[in-house]
Amino acid sequence: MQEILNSETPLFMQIKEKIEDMIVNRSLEADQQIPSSTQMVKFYQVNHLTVLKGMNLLVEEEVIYKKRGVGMFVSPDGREKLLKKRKQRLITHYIIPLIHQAETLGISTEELMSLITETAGEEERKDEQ
Amino acid sequence: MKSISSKHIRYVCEDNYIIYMIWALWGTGILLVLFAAAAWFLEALRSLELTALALISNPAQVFIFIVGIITGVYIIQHYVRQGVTRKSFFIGTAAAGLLTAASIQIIGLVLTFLSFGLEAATPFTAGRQLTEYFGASRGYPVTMGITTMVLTAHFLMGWIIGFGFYRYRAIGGFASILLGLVILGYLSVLWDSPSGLVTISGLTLRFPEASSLSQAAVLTAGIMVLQLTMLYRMIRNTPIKVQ
Amino acid sequence: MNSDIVLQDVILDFKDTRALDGISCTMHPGKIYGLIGRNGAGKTSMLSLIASFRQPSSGRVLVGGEEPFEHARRMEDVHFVYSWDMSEEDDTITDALNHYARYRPRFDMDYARELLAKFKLDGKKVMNKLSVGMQAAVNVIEGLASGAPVTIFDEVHHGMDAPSRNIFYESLLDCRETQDRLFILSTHLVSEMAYLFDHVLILDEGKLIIDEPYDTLLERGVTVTGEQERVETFLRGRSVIDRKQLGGTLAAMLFGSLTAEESQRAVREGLDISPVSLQELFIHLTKEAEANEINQQ
Repeated sequence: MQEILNSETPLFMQIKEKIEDMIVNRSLEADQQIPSSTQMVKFYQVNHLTVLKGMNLLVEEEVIYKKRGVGMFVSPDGREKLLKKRKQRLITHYIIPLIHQAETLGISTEELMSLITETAGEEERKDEQ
Repeated sequence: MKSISSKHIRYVCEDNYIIYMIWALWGTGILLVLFAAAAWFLEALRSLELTALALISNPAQVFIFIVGIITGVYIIQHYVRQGVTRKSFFIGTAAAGLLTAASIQIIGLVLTFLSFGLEAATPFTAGRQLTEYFGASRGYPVTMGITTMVLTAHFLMGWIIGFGFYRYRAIGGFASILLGLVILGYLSVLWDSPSGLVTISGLTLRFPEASSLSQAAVLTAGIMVLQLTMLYRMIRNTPIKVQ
Repeated sequence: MNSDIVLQDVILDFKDTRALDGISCTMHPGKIYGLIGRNGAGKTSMLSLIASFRQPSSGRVLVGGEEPFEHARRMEDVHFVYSWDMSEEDDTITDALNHYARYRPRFDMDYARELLAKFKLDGKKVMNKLSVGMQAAVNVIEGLASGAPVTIFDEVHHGMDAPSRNIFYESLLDCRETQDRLFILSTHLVSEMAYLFDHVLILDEGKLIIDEPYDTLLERGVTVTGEQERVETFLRGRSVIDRKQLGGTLAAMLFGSLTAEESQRAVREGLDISPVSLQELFIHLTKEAEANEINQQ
């Protein structure tokens, strides 16, 4: 199962991302219990301590919270926090490089905008088919 | 710190006793078949002088001696593996050996009564004689008591030899065989031909002689105490091999 | 109930060899300990002491603060599972398990039956007719269901096929989650079991060279790859446990973690930093005697 994870990023970061993904795509809702560390260990076949490390980071960021003796739950505003973070990441990881790339190719901002709208339309049509 | 658990002692005794008795019943069955086969061919065996109780006493000595050897070689690790202390194992197993020796006497008694029944129904003549000690027959209870002691001593001797091999390998094993020859030899002269002389390949050893049944019984009890002490000293701190 | 295991300066001598040479460590309930070592490193000897199969030549072994040897209650608390010769066993699996259960007050027979079903074993089968893999499964079931506060599996997974091993690992994780027991797994097949360990003990020639939580141990190993000269400069003064070379590229495995600053420096110099697996650490730490020196640094 470890093939699901890659060897570039530290494992605990990847576990953290996996939980984040579940919250972002709503397979885990607010105040819903997240899978136990043992379940995660079995599923990803990574060490218990690695899973806990990933989870603890999310607790620190207040995306999830701990109920003593019960388990971990999604914070009421956990998804919002993540969306905000991911939006920021979209800007730094994709939009800024995109703009830089466009500049080197001599594409103006207006042109870039229309390219994005056009491509988005095409994708939508593909999805409908 | 308690080094025994009464619950474990009981379980060890029960579990070993059950195994020993399964073997004893098989042994008895095989002995009966052999006897029936022999009686078919040999006219002499169709009328007996000795009771079944007396007849089985020699085979029973060999049998329980072998049971003792198997106990020494194979059994301890199973119990220590289950978290039983060596001391609990020792007490439970010694008790199982004693119980088995006594049970073999009960089997002998049952066979004796069966032979009386057989005599009434068939031309077969059952024997009436018990093993004689110091020139006289001593009746069923005393004879069975003595034989139980002698059988238990054989069990303990086998156990010592088997365990000698288990713990001290060949050297300890052969040393305990020598000891066994001496002790079993003494046991036999003590009861069979009252004297204190044991001769092993030309070497004669002198031991206390018994002049009466009660003296012989006390000396036999002394041998058993000696055997138990030896065994416990070997067992109480033995390493268990992981195989 | 306290069932910590403590070893203090334990030495175990056989006739002419020293099997264990000054072992000291502490283990706590609620964790899975991985005892790793090459064949003959002393794993079984160490476990034999904890299980009261032997006494140390010197030093002390304590379970729950007491010496377990010939201690009726402590010996009942420790369950040592290893593969043993079943060729003389003519009991059925169920009979054998019932037999064990009598001696283990916490044995959970329902759980044992559940595990039998998981391993697809028929309880009516006779023990000496079982394949090696099935025997291993019976051993595993015995250990998991025994409920013993200290449960030791000494290379019991040998002979099990991959799906069975996985059932073993998952069931072990279940037990770890729901019961406050201390588990020790000994193995020299590290890679597939590494994720189970909370704590790693590595034995090498009778010495305990590693005694660390899994995560901090892994953080201590890094591989630095890059242009040979730059790697060499970067390595100066560090303990290198393995080096591999391909043309002008050198990959060096370090034992000892890098600070954030150092990693940044490495990246600036165009060096690649990658994590090391427990398997790799184990192989390189135990391949030569210099492992001890490394640990002392």
